[in-house]
Amino acid sequence: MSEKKILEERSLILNRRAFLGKTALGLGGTALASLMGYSYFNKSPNGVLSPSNTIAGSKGALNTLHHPAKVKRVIYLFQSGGPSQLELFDYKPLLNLRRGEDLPESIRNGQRLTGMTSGQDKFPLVGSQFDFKQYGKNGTWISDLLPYTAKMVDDLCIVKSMHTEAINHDPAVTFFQTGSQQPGRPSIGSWLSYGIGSENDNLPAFTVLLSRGTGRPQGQPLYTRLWGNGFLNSLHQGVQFRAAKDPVLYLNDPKGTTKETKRAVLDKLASLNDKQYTEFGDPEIQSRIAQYEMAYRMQTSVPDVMNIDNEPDYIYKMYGSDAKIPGTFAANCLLARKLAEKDVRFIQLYHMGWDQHDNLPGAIKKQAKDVDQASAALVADLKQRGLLEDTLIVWGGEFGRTNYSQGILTEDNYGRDHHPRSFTMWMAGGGIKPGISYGETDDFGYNIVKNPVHVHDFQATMMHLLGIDHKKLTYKYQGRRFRLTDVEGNVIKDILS
Amino acid sequence: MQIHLLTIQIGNLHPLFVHLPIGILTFAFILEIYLKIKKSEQTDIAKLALGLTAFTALLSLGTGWLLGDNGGYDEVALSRHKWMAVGLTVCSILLFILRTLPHNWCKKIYVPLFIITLGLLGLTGHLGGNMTHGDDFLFKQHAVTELAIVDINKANAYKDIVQPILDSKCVSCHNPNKAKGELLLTSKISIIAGGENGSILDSVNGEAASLITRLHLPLDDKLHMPPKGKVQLTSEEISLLKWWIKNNNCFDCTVEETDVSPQTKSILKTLEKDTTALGKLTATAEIVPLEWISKMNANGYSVTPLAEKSPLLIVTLASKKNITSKDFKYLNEHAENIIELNLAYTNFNDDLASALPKFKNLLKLQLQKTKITSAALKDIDKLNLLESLNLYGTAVKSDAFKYIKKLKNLKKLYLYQTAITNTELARLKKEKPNLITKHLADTLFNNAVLNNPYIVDASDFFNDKLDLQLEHVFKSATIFYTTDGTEPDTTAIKYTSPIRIKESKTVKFFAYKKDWVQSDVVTANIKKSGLLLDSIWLQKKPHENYRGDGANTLKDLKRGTVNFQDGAWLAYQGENLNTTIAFNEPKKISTVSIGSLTKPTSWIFHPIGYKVWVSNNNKDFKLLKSIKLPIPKKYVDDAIAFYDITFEETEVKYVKIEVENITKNPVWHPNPGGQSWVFVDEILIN
Repeated sequence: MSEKKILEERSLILNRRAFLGKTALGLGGTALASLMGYSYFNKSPNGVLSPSNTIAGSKGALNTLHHPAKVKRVIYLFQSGGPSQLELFDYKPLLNLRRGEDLPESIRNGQRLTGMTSGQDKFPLVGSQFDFKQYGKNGTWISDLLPYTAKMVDDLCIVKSMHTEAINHDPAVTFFQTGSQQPGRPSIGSWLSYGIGSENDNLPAFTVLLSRGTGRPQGQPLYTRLWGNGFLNSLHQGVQFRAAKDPVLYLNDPKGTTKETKRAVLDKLASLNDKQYTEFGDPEIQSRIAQYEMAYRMQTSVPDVMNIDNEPDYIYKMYGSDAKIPGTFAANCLLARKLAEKDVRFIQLYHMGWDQHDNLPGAIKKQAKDVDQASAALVADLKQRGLLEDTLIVWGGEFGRTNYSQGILTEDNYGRDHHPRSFTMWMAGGGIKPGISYGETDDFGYNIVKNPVHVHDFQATMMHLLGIDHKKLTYKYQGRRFRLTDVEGNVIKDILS
Repeated sequence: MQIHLLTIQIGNLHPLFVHLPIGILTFAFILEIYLKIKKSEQTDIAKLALGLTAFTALLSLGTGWLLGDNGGYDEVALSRHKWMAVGLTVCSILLFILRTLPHNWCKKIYVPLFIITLGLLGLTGHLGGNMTHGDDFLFKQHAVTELAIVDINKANAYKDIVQPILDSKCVSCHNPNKAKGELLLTSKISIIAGGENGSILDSVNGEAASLITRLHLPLDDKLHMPPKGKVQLTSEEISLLKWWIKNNNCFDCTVEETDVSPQTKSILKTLEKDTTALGKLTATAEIVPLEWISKMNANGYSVTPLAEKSPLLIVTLASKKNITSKDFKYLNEHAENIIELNLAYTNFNDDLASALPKFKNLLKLQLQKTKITSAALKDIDKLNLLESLNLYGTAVKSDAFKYIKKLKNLKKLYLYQTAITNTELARLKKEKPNLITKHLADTLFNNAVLNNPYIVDASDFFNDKLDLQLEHVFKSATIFYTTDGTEPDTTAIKYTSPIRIKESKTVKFFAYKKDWVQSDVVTANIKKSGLLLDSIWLQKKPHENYRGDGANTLKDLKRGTVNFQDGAWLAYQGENLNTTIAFNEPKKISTVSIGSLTKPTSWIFHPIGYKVWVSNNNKDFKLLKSIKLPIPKKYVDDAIAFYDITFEETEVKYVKIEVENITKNPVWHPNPGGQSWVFVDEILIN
C-alpha cells in the first residue's frame, strides 16, 4: 500500500470518528449504521476490540457464529518438513514387491520434481522398511514406528488423500498456515483471533510452541511470519512461548519495578497513546495499547501455565519422560493441554526435522519416537478430561514424500524427496468421525484415486467445525475481500460426525 | 418472423406500462378531491392527468394484448384480465371526455364513473398480478415450512423430496395458470407428459434428461432453467434431482429402495427433521434479547449465542474468580435458553448447586475441578436432557451414581481423578450400558520408557582428576553405572555422589524408576588430556569456512559438536590434514588421540588412516606408526569420536601427524564420488 493511500485511509477513519463521535449527527449516524446492517460501533475498522465495544457476547469480528460450533479450540501439531506418509500411515506393499524398479511414467504423469531429484536419471521405487499392522475396530494399517498412535486409532480420522500445490517447504507451510503460497496473508490462528476472538482474557488467542526433531536436528528453519497476522491488526499475531526462563520474550519487568509503578506507567502511556490516536487515527496505536495490557495480564498467567512441575508421574508416563525436558515436542504437547484447559483458541505446535531426503530409515525412526507417544497422549489426556469433545487436534505436515528413493537405493538405506500429490494427516476431536480412514491413493502411493482433500478443503473443514462459514469470514484489504481459503475450499462433510 | 419477434419484444414492455395508468389515475382522483376542498377553478391539471391516464391505459392494453398472444398463460385468467382491461381503458377515455365537456349531465355521472373506474383498476391489476406471481401470491401464508420427514429412508423420493424442490424453484412459471413452454411441474401426470419439447425425463442421444441438462446450461443461455434473474437451484437440489432421474425417476420409491451415493445420502440426511434435543430446543426456545446478552457480557459473564439466529446460549463462568448465588440469579432470567454451562475450575460448591435445577434445558454441564461432592448432584435429574457431565477432579464418590442413574439421556460422564474405582465404574456401566464412563484403557501407556540420564557440565577432558556428576530429569530415578567397560544392570554401582576419575575411562550408566521401562545405557568416554601441546602448526590452511582458531583449535581442549559449524572444527575437503606439534622440552609419549566427525549427509567421514612421525630436531622425522582403516561399507549415524594411536613409549620434541581423508564419497552414498571432508577438532598426546 502506498504511503499516500495509507494516509488517505487514516483520514477516512478520522472522518468517520469525527462524523459519528464528535458531532450532533453522531446519534443519527448510529441509527443509520444499524439500519444498514453495519456495526461500526462494535469494532473499529481493523477489528480491534475492547470489552466496552463488543456486543452480544461477540469477542471477534463476527457477531455470532454462522452455525453451532463443534469445537471451541484447535491444537495443530504441525510436522514441519514433510513426514513420509509411506513409512507412517499409507501402507503400500506393492512398493516393497517392486523395490528398485523405475517409477513408471504412467504413474508419475509429468509431476514436477524439486531441484533435488530432477537430475536423477532413475527413480527407484522403495517401500517402507518398517512393518505395518492392523489396529482398532476398522483394522487400520499403522506402521510399527507409531505404536502409541496405533493404540489411539479408534479416536483418529486419518485422511490419506491430502494434496497441496506447493513443492518446497516455505511455500508449502505458508500455504497450509495462510491459504496462500506467497507470504503476507494472516495465519489460521490470526483469522480465528480476528473472527471469534479469545475465550480467555489473560492469554493470547493464538499461541505457538516450537520443537526441534532428533531425526534431522539441523532441519528446515521456520519463520515467525508463519504465525503472523498479515494484514490483520497485529493484535491477532501468534505469541510464541519458548522453552526458556522467559517463555515469552520481553514480558518480565526490569529489576526493581513494582506492580504499582508498572501499572502507573501503563496508564500514563495509554493516555498518551490515546491522545496520539485521536490526532492521527492510526489503528495500530489502539492495538498497541491493547497489547501492553495483554502483556501485563500475561505476566501472571504465563508462568502459571508454563509450570509443569506439579504434573503427577502418570502424566509423564503418558506423554513420555521427554515431557520433563522443556522445548521437546512431548513437553509442548503437555503445555498444549494446559493451554487448552485455559481455553486458548488456537494452539500451534511445530515439530521440525521431517525433511528426510537421505538416510530416511534412521532419521524417521528417531523423529517418530519424538512425536508418537506425546501425540497419542495428548488425544488421550484431553479425552479423559472431557476436553476432546470440543477440541480439534490436527497432526500433519506441509506435504508428503515420494515413493521412489532420492539418491542411490541401497540394501538398508534410502531417502525420499518432497511429494505434494498425496500425503496423510490425521484429525481427532469434536465433530470428526472417529476411527475412520478417508481417501485413498493408488497402489504406488503416488496419486490419489478416491476422495482428494485439498489444503483449502482442510481449512474450510476446520473453520466449519469452529462454527464459521469459511466463505463468510473475510477482511477487506487493498480493495479485495480476503479469506483464509482464498476462492476455494469445500467442507469435507464425509468426515464430520 | 421479424414482426413476431418484435411483438414479443413490445409485449414484454407490458409490465412496465401497466403501472403508469394505475399511478396517474389514482393521482387524478386525489387531485379532484384537493381541488374540491380548495374550491379551485383550475381544472386543466385534472384534465391533463385524465388524458395521460387514458393514453397510458391504451398503451398498456396494446402491449398486454401482444403479450397475451405470445401464450403461456391460463386462458380463463387471461381473458378475464384482458376484457376487464378493455373496460378500464374505455372508462378512462370516457372520464377524460366527460371532464372536458361543459354539460351539466356530464358532471352528474362523472363522480360515479370515476369510482367504477377505480374499482375496475383494482380488479384488473389484481388479476394481472396473480398471473405473474401466482394465485396465492397475495394471501399466501409465509409460514416457515417445517421439515416433515422424520425418517429419510422411509420418505417418498418424488412426493417428499423432488416435488418440494420443484414447488419452490419451478412451479411459479410451470403451473396451470402460466404453463411456460406448455410444461406443468405440479403433478406426476404433468411431469411425465412433458412440455412443448417433449419429455423432460427421457435421455435423448445419450444426453441426460432435459430436466437436468437445462439446469447445467450457462446462466446466460436462453434455455437455462430457471431463467436468469429467478432464484436458482442450489447444488444440493441439483444433485437430488440427478439422483431421482438416475433412479429412473421413480415416483413411488422410498429413499431406501433407491441407489444412493454417500454424498447424496448426506444431503438427504439434512432434509430429515431434527429430532435431537438440540433441534427441538432450537425450534421451541424464545429468542433472548440482545441487550440482555450484552449486559451480561459487560458484567464479566461469557454468554455466547450458539449461532446466528439461534435462541440458545452457551454460558461459561470459568474465568470468574468467585461465583455467588447472585450470579445464578442473573442467569436465571433466561435459564431455559442455556444449553451449555461451564463452571469448571471455579469455587462452585454444594451450596451453589441448588441453582442448577433451573437450567432445565442443559445438554452439557462442566463441573470439573470444582469444590463439589456427591451432594451437589442430588437434584441433577431435573436436568433430564443432559448429555454430557464432567466431574473430573472433584470429590464426587460412587454414591453419586444413584442421582446420575436417573439421567436418561446422559451419554458421556467424566470421572477422571475422582475417588471412584474401576469396579464401581463397571457396576454403573452394567446399569447404564450406553453411558461412556471410561474413556481410556488402563494399559494404554504401560510401557513408558525412561529417557537417558546425562552428565552434568560435561567437560570432555580432564588433566589430573574429574568428578563426574550424573543426573536424570526425574529426581526420583536411580542411576546405575560401571567404569570397567562392562554393561551395567541393577546390580551395578548405584550412583549417589559424583564419580572420581583419574585415568581415561569408559563410563556406562542407565536410569531406573519403578513402573517404568529402564533407560538405554549411555556410554561416555572420558579422556585425560595428557601433555600440554606447546605449539602447533598446520602445513596447509584449512577450508576457510571451517578454520576455527587456526591450528590452536586442535589443542584448545574444546570438543566440537555434530553441528560442524560451531567453530570447534578444522576441515579439509578432498585432502589430508597435516600438522606438526612441538614440545618445549622432550617428552615421553605413547598415545596420540585424534577427535573427528562423521556425518555422511554432509559428506563428512571419519579419517581412513593416520600417520605419526617423531623427531627431536624438526628435520629428521621417523615414521613411528601408520594405520589404515577400512572405508565404511554402508551408512553410519552422525557421530564424533576419538581414535587412539598407541605405540611404544618414545621421548621426542616434535610430532608430525597426517590424518587421511577418504577424499571421495563411497559408492553407497547418494552422491558417490563427491569430494568429501575430514573434520578434526582435537589432538591429545599422552
